[in-house]
Amino acid sequence: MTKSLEDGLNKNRRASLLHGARDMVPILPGMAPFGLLAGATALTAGLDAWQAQALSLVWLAGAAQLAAIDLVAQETAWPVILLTVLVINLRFLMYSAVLAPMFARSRLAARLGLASLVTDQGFALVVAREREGMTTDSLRWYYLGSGAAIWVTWQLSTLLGSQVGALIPAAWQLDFSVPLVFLALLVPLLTDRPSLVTAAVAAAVAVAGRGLPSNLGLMLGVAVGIAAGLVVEQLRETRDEGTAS
Amino acid sequence: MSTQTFWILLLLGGLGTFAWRASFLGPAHGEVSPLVRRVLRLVPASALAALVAPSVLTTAADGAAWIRPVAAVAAILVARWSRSILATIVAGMVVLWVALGLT
Repeated sequence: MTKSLEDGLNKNRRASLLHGARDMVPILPGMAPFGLLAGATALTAGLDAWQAQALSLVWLAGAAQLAAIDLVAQETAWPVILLTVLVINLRFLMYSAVLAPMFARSRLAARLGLASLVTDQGFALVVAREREGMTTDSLRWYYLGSGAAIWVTWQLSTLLGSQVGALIPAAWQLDFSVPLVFLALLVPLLTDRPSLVTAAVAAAVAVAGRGLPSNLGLMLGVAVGIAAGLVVEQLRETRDEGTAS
Repeated sequence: MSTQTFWILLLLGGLGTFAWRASFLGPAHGEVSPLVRRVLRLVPASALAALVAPSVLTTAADGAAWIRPVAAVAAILVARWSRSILATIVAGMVVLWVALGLT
């Protein structure tokens, strides 16, 4: 490769990297309070600031971190917490499947590096750019730039939360902010009948199973909720086929 | 939770989460089957609802039993209207604090 072509390519990559980071800026203020809570509520659940930070460093997954913290506070058995975390993060598998063709020509090490930065916000942005026709090489650097911006914001907001969280009086019941975050994430998902039924059944079963040992009612609720949603979907399809013929 | 249990949870949770993230970006390739796709679409709604409902209905250490459900309803309405996580948290917490102050 000639020198000038290489320079041009590097310039393009740096531009894409910055483009990704810049596009993240309007999204970051919405993420920061989430990170603050991941730091602050960890303390109310009896974890220390190091543990709060370790969760952000190793998991980089807000909803799963808050769920784990909530369950630690309720003294749930760790296998149930682990299972909950894996269920909540299952969506990353979906993202991974969508991203894989975009990065298919990258080396394995690069793909694994990009995989470690898979998040809701980063995924949404890169998919939007691909639809607009951004080239594969640019997409990679764009994705890296937006992922780095998310990573830094997440670590700093967790750190700030775990430092400030120690000062917040228990009477403020900050732990209640965790279900509030989940409600904010849940409400936009309830766009059709199968998802509504799923959520309603999952909630009802989880509440009914509250007395079960080691918070098993939670897992039971998730499983029965999904089953109910699938049944509703199936019924709707059969009905639609009936009216079509 | 003991320190040792915490680190086990952190490590296994991290490995599992990375396994999801790398599932298709890693060495293996393939397609997601339609049934798996359907199940995955419903997972977030199911998991979030099953997490929220018991914590909202569990009474806090102090305060009347109705306070958290009422604050949660206010938060749902604000979430529907604003689609903002921050506005939802603020609405729910303000209702909680006002109700705690009144009772």
